[in-house]
Amino acid sequence: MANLNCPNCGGAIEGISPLIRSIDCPYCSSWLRLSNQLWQANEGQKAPLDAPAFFHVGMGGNTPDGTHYRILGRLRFQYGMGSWDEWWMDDSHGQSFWLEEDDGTYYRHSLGKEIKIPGGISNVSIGSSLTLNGGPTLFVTEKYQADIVGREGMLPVELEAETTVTYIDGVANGEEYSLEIEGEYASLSQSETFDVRSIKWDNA
Amino acid sequence: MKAFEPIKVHNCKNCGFPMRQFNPNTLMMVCESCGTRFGDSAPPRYKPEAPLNPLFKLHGQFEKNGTVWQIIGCQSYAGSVEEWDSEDNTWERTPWSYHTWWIINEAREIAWISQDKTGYSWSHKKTVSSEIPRGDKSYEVGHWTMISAVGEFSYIPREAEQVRSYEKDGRTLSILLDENGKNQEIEAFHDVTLNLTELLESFGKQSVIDALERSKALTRTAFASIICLVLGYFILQGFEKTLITTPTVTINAQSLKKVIPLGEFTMQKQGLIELDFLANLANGTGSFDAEIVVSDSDKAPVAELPLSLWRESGRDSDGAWTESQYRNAPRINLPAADVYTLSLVPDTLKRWQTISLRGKVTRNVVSLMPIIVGGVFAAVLGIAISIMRRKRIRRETGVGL
Repeated sequence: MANLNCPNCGGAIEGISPLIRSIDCPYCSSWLRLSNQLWQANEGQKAPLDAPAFFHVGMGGNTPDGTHYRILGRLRFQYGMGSWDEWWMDDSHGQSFWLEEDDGTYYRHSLGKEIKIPGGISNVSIGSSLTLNGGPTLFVTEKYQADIVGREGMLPVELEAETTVTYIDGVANGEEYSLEIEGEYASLSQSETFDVRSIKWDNA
Repeated sequence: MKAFEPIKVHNCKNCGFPMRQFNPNTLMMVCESCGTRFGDSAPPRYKPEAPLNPLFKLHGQFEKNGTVWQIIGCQSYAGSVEEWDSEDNTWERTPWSYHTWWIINEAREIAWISQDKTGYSWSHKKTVSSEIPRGDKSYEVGHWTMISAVGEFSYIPREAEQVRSYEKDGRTLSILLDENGKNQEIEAFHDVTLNLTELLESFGKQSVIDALERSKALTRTAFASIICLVLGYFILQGFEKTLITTPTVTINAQSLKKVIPLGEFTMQKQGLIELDFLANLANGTGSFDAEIVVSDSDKAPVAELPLSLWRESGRDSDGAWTESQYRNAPRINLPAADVYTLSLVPDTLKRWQTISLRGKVTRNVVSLMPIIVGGVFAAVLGIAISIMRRKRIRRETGVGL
């Protein structure tokens, strides 16, 4: 973990993992981005996150086996039928992952593996199969474009608010996968259910 | 149970009703007062209504397995279910409808309870484990149109949204269709049927549960009493004793108006006896009338019982018919212990040349009539209580066939 002084206000920001690529300064609210190994302050990039959530950035908790979890950052997405939050978390074993809630169930997934999808995804329809190079053949359950409508805290990505992302969700052999697509390239990650209720949250 | 704190209150732009938002991820709210959707300033042409339900009401609460849940929305769907009919070799379509109640707990986790006319089930979201089973005859295929949505939802339900479902063994593959009828989203659910008694308990309806338990016990008692009556009948039959079996006597025209002695029997105490006479009727139509006479040891008659045996036949619009009575089993109560004499006095014999009959006298005879009357009464009582119980369940839970 590294520490950083905000390049805008000089405030000390502690506990930054090597995966983090953007931070909201807790003192001056500047959006700090890691660019060419340097942290730079930007303004006017942050979109409001007006809807409250069960979690909040900075929240922490412990499981009965002693593992400590921290919520470091959050992205809020919106698509045609709704919105969802993805929370960037880490634990005391040094693992970092995304946590997302979908209609009451929480899923965790690690940073995705880069794969190529020859021909793109324009012909992929919901209910069809999508064979991935060197990966599983997905039964496509959802395909949508989502806008990032808000972000806060420390994140392993530099996505700006109002960025549009294309997603495909699918299943293979009883496992759930998510594809984040850009052209012929995609980031593939596997989703696992995550029992947030087994964690005793500090501020819950 | 203390009501949850809303995270926000939005005033309806049409009627000003304070719409309370409980789910942080809610994207759509439909005013429960006027049906106007959040963001709209005019109500829809047809006001959506949450169904009338004795248990589930918007913002009502219940407790299940220690977790308090609050009802935040309801969607109603109507359509049909197709089921493969292997006898007719075709898909059979049945009109059906259901409601989905959206519920939320204190941790702001969402769950759904599905209600149709057969009952309630808890819908758990599951990983999709199969492709779309198109044409698979082992599935029930549902075609649904949303007819109403009231409350708050974490997606934006399109008006009259279309859903197709494939259901087998409580597992459902649900496909939301877009406005062009193409697949928009595929989800899987596992439905667990909710026990109605447990559901009533969840809503704190203990007095209703007690009343239903009482009526259940009464129904069981009524049906158990039928079994007891039948068993009692057979047990009492074991106490029956044949006092005398008469020899077979043949009666002809010369026997008329003459006393035919049939034998003697002894009674140790007063009691009911049955005089059972069985005739071997001659062919064709005819009749025989006589008197059975029971006399005491002083030769004084204590009972004179008519015996009438006959056969008639004819023809009507339904064709030929025949009716006969070849058995008589009158019962009398003998007043005291004594040695009694049984005799027969034939009166008339019409059309037949002869008739032969034999009989027996039985004491401690068991009557079947009270058993039948008691059994029918118990059955009617049991069925009536059962029907009333079902009606009560339906009234208290809103479901039940």
